[in-house]
Amino acid sequence: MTSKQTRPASTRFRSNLISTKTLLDSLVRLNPASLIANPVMFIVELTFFIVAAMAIYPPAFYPVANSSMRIYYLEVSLILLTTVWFSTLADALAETQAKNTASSLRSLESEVQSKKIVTEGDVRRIVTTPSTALRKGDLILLEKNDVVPIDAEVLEGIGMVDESLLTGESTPVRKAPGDEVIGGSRVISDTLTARVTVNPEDTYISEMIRLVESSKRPRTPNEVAVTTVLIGLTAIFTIIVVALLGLSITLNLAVDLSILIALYVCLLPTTIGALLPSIGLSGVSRLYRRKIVAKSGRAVERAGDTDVIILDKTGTITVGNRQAVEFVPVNNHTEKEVGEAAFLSSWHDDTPEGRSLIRLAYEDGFGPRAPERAVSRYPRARDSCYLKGISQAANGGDCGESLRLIKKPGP
Amino acid sequence: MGWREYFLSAIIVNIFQMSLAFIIFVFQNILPLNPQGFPGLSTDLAFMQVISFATNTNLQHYNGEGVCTNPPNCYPLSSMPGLSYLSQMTAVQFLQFTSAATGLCVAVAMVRGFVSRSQNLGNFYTDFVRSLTRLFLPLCFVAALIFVGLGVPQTIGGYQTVTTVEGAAQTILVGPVASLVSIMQIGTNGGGYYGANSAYPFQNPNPASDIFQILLMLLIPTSLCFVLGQLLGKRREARPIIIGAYTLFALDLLLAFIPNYGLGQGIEVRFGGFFSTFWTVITTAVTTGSVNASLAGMHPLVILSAFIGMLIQSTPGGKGVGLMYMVMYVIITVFIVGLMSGRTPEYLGMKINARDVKIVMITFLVHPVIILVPTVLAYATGAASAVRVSTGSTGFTRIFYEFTSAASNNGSDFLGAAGNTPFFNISTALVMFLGRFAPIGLLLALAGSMINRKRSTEIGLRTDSITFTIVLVGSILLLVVLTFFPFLALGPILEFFQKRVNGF
Repeated sequence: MTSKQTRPASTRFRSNLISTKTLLDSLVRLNPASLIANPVMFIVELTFFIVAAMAIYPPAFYPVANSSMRIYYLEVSLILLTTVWFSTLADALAETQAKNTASSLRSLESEVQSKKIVTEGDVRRIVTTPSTALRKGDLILLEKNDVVPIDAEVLEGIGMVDESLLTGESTPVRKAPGDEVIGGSRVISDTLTARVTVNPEDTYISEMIRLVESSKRPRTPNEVAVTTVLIGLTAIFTIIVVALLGLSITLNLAVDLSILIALYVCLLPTTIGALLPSIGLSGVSRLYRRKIVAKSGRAVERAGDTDVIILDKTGTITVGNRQAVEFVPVNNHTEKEVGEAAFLSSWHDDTPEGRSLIRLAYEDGFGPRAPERAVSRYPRARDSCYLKGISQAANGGDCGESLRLIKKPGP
Repeated sequence: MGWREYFLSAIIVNIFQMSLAFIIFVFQNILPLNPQGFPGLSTDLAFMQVISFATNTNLQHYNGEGVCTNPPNCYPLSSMPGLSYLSQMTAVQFLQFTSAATGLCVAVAMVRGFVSRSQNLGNFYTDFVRSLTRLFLPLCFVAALIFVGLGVPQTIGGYQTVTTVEGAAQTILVGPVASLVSIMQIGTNGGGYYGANSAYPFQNPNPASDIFQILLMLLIPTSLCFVLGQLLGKRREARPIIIGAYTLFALDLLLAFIPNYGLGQGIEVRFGGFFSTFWTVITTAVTTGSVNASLAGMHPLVILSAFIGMLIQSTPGGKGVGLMYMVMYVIITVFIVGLMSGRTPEYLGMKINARDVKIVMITFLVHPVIILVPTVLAYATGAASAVRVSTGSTGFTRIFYEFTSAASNNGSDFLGAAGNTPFFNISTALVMFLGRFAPIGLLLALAGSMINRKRSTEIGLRTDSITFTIVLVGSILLLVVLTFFPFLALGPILEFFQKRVNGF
């Protein structure tokens, strides 16, 4: 899932939800062949055909039909048809809504102007092209402060690229020929030439649009399970009604078939059956109104199961500029001990954390009065001496110094 | 053993035992210990009876005390076949022991599947032998002695002819009754020594023996609920099961005691309306099927309550199988509740997937199929009218009850020896077999797939809370009662209203 600031989609498409097209679509969906994917509604439609046949020619159904009740049969059949139609209408509506969501998603695809390198003979020319018009294999020029328009592979030049928005790594990354640059990252120094490695329609957002639009989404596990329950219940009620029919014939109970069918449809889980196919689509659409893009119905389900979200993407949602605010000693150590140790261990740490630790140590008065002298006696430890924390020189053999500065090996 | 192996072992052992019993039933006339000289059973009756006893159903289409072909030592009842002492002891009692042990084993095996860190479902043979030698035999030995003390006969000395005060000769029908009664109640079998079951004075001589039999019936089904908690290592998880089962049981009792009188025509006066009604509700709630009064004399609401007990099958249900059904209901409920609250359903920290739901739904489907199809067939083929039941609601109740009782492996019935027709023998035999082994196989398969399933420690939906228990009871009632409501309406409910109009 990804989140982006955008205007609520609902305001935009509510007006054109019920259109002639949607209504027509819902009627086309009444076709039994297309309904068969939804067993419950398919069965309801079957019963409609049976009752309709009873209304047309009752004698075919003796002894469980009565010619004097043709009007009643007609009514029952119309109610059954309406039931099915509501289901197909819900489907059609959900799909219209999804299409609208998809079209508004399209506006999310940020169109960045990119500098495409066109070689004409021996002359290289820079053409400003929208990122959507780039193709796989195109060459692009990336200069300082440019946003990388699309995933690409560096061919020439070495430069620093800020990927914090995508990977969370706050430190700019050095990119050399052969490295990948990711669309959406930003070049912060030097100039690179890169070759585009994906087509714009294969990007992340394009993939999401396809998922939202396609009505043939893979069913989610819970959807499959619910369908199983619905089929099971349908089977149970079918047995019941067929048994009742058999009994009413053999015991001469004079029960009317249309009444049995009415009972059957009442028992059937028609509400869930009718709405299940559109639930997934509307779930995705509703999330989108909350500015969350669900990649699939499965993702919506996962989100429902989530209790706690742990994010390791500091750069993505924060500035990536962590600041030390307090030294918290544990056991019988004092704050001063912690502060001094933190000071010493952070001396060579150039990250925002390291710098803020030094600053905090000075502010709290834990820094040595002459830091240059205090620390420079202990040159940065050799790799072989890297340990976590600080070890006292009295115990330290190999590395020699009385007090060594030790840093955790970098990530 | 994996679930397939476990299930196959259980089936094979049971079928082997059935074949042994079949031979004994059919050839009891030439086998020893037949002082009354009973003829062998017909093959269809023997077929039905071995399945009946091996499936813990104990539907009886014969009168055990029968009629002897050897006057002076005879009590002319009817021309119904009886059972020799050998048949009663080695076929009936033997199968009563093994069927109870089988039920217990498969239930425990199923629970093992849900226990975290279990590697397999256990070894059927070990479970089977241990449950017999360590549980059923010692319990029944003690119980049988107590029954003898209470006046139940235990002899293989043959029927006694005594001269009454009036000077007439009377045949006293005695046999190894006490030992059979003990296992039939402890094992929730319910097949009595006599045709009249525990309504017969020698099988249930006094109120003390009546209460003792009720206690024995309830003993193991109730304790199994606690065993579940022990096996899972989470005693709290057994709470909704036991509270749910007993809430349903209480609702059942409430329904049965709505009519302010319980004593109808044919009710055993020694125990009175209260104990007869109480017994009928219990015997269907734990699917024992023994009776201490004729069902034909019962108020329609008592019959309705009996139906509900049999249709739910886990209030707290038969030996082992009741527990299995309860776990199945819990899974359905977890699924429904989970989806309503928008979470992937979890039970004991395990996600319930589509395959589990499929298994549970098929298990649930078995019951309506095997009850309704033969009920309709009985009417369609005219088999129902052949046993002289009416086409009215009373007759329908009897036929419907017969198959409900067979499907839920209960064994109480209206037909009794009148059901000894090829149609009812074979149809009920098939119903009993499917009603027993189809759910067992399916639920073992469910347990088999639970082994080694990833378990999360964070439980999304608490299944040990009182709220869950209420929802569980509600969904069981909704699912089961709604499924069969049209048929209950044609049977006992219609009968109730007819009798309200016409007088009871």
